[in-house]
Amino acid sequence: MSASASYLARRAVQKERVRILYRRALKDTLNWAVHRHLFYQDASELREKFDANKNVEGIETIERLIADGEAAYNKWRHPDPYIGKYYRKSFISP
Amino acid sequence: MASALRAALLGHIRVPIAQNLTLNGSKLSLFSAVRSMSSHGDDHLTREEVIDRVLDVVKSFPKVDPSKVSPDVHFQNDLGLDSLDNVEIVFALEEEFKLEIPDKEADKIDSCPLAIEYIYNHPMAG
Repeated sequence: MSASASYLARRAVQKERVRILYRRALKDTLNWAVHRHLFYQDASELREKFDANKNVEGIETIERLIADGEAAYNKWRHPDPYIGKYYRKSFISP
Repeated sequence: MASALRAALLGHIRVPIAQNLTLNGSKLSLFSAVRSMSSHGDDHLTREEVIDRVLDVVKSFPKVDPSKVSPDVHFQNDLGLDSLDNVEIVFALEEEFKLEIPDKEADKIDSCPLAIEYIYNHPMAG
């Protein structure tokens, strides 16, 4: 059974959503990491979470995983994102 | 031929400077005033410097074989990276050149030529 055009289009959209979600989550990881070495650790874990689902099949399953990922990202987004030169950090006062 | 390539690439990726130039006159004149008061010459990066630094970033990526890196390579097709590696490389390039690239434009950068062209044409690249 050959893949229909709409199936391929849906999968392409899903792939783009995954890339953009990964990009945003990666940047957010930098916002949260007070020290650079923490960023590397967190970024590594983030990548593993995405890689774990690399070969998942089933368009609806993939859809759900992406929605879960986007929800998790929105839940944990840094309230004071870092904008500007990444190597200059600001501290959150208690 | 280079100019045709450049035009094609710029058409493929929207470049921010076109937006700045169409804004109201006060912003444009401020930009011009700063430039005319600059004591040193053109402080924009040279193409060679952009190429060198882009290649350094790509070669430093752990999953990349440095000997395969040239200014023409496609990250996934030539260097065997996957789409998430591509995201990480663009992120590293943003850090290297102190740029904030919009998500949709960053998503289109999937090769050295595109990265070099985008960064070289970006007014804020440093």
